[in-house]
Amino acid sequence: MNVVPGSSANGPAGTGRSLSVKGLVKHFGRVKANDGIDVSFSSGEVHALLGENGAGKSTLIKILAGVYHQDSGEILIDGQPVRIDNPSHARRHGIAVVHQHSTLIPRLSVVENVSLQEGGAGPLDRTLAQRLVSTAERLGFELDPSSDVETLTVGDRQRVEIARAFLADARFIILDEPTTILAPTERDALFGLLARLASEAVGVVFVTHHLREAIENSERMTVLRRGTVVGHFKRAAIPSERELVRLMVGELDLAGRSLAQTDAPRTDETTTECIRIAGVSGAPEDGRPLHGLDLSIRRGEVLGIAGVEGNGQQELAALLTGAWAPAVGSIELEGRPLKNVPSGERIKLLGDVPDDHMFATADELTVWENVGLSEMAWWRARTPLNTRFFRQVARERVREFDIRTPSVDGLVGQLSGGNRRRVVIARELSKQLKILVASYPTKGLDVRSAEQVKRWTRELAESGTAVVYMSSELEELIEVSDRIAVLARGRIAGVLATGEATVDTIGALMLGATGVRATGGPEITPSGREDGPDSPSGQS
Amino acid sequence: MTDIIAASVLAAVPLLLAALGGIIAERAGVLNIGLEGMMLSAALVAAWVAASAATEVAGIAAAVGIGLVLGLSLGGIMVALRGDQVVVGIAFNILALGLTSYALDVITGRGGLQALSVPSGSIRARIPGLADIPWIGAFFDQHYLAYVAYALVPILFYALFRTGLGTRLRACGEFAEGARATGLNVLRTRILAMGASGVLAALAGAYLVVGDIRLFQQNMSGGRGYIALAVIILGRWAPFGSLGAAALFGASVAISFDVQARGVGIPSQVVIAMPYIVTLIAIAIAGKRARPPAEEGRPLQLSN
Repeated sequence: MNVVPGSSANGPAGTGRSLSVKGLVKHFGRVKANDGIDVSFSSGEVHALLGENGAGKSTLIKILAGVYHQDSGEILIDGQPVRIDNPSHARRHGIAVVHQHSTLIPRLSVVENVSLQEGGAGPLDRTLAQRLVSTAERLGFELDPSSDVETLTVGDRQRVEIARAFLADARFIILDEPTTILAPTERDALFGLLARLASEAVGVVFVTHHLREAIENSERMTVLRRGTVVGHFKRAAIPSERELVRLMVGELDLAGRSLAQTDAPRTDETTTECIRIAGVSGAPEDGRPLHGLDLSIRRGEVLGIAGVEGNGQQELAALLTGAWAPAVGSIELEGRPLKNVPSGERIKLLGDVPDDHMFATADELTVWENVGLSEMAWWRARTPLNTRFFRQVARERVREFDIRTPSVDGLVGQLSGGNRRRVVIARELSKQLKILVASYPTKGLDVRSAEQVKRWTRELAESGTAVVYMSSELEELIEVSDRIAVLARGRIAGVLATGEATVDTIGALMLGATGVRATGGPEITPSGREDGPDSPSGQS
Repeated sequence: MTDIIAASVLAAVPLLLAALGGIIAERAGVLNIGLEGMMLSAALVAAWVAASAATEVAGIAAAVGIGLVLGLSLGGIMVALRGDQVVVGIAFNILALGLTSYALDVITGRGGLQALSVPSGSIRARIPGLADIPWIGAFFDQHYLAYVAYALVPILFYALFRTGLGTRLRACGEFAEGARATGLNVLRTRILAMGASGVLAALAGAYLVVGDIRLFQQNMSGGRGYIALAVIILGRWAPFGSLGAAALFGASVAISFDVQARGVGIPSQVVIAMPYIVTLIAIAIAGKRARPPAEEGRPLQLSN
């Protein structure tokens, strides 16, 4: 049995220790990431934290990790309020966090990484490697303490972080979306490991937006939506999957509302096909596989993409923007294979608003440079005349897209997240686009900004551009789209046209996405399970 | 031959000391271009204090002190204030060249050359026995700072790769965000590493004075600080590697002197340029495989 560091008087672990938060509130600008969260985790239990993108899961975890500090509310350990101001505080309280992206130092060995936390400044502890190996054995896996972290797979790195936390006598191990980066086999192994940790009296918390993962692997489940707890269940009392999906994506009151009520059909038979995807299978690097994806997008329409996150949305976006060329299947832009379109032309024709603005702006450049980025070329060198032109254009767009910046000469890195997203949208929408791929463009935006983004999207479609619009908000999808395709486990579970799309019908298809329905497609877990006749097992 | 080895050691020791200092900084993630200026400033201080106090040790101690101060201040500007490391380093080098030249004028104007000459005394510390071995005996008939430099190689290797301190230092140079997540103070580590870097660069500067001509001259570092940066790359950011690289450069200097002395029919300018040509070739060859610490030269930017 482990003894809690610094509080060994409390005796052996596993005697009903609890970690809870009360009324936790955290704002980022005007966005309330956590809006009064109450939740309690116990040792010896695997607890799933379920919620869609932007529900506040990661914020909650970062507060517990000491990365953020809450605006109000308190954190209690065994009922006693504690302060967690930085990562070392969290560790001292026995809270270890395995972040989504590994914090291990790539070019140090496994044992050196662990020694950063365990050892002092003096000579390295020679017994540490052995202790690490036996810890790993106890948790049911093997590891080579002398190998460099950069040579390990992401799954191995995760296990190293877990072993490190366990070795440091962490009472609570919190994992932020641990499965998103893992291959299916590794996911199973991870959940085995988490169960093992719980049997060692560790309180395990994992964040996920995969319903099935949560249902199958947790004893307790808390559902977050828009920064508040909307459901809390014990394993024995988990409600129907449909109910859980509704809790996650919300808008129960919208049931029955259909597309027909929002707008007249905005596409007709005369509009021509812009993009045709036929039989695309396989996965980009670090991605999840798509299975025989067929999709046709017409000019002037907004095609909404629904689905629980992680069912192929990222891969579809990579496919559409040409970032990934699939080995199986084809994608054509107005009859031309996309891979034959030179990248210079692609940049002009394909707009991309990625779901993370961090990857889409050059933060060290000014607003005008960012806005004009895709129009700059060697023949438009930075002569005073051209600079004046670009700044003038940028000023207009700042006004048009309501970018809140002191001036067009301000650095983009100094703008708020929402304004950075506006910069990206302004840049992409100023091109003569054939197609725009908008991945969760309203994520993290306040209501007013979200409304503007939806309006710009519609206007763009009306000008003849094909728009692929991804969102986790079904209400928003129904509002903005002409048709809605539902992604489920890397396939199109269905395409709903005007009049068919309701929260209920979409939800039903999304349930297929979670694999709950027995009639769902073949499993993507390669564990030798019986696959359907159209199994993609040929490509392993 | 013994002469060539002796001259090689004389040329290699300051390169080695400066390179070891550079390794400490770069392993922590700071590119210390200021090695050159630190050497030059420390050389002036060493000569001046040694002359004033009439003891060599006082000069070396003062040089170490100024090296520490310069290292910490430059570290503060580069790390805490996030000044561009290349620009700050080069600007400092230019400043150091100007200030030491001016100081040289002022000091010699007042006290003559004597004011910057290290008082005479035995500068050799012969190691009995070892120094009598033919050829390699030359390695053991050197100024005592040379032995300090020899000793620092295994010491630094041990500290960097076999202690918690060194592991933390390298963590800061490889992945600042990860180092911080494990609870390290990246900012402090980097600034202290710059302090240590300054001390070693100062020893290199002091050696130029006390180990060789025992006098301060204008621009007496003569680009050795920059060559030390090349030594680091060629030595792959490792103490023993840098020992080898410094030896190579030292030998090229010694051989070029030798060639000059023999009056071989090569223009003397070409001969003098030898070490720099060797630098270019060595970097061109090593460049492909060189893999610097991932954070080297990058300003410290941590979320929150």
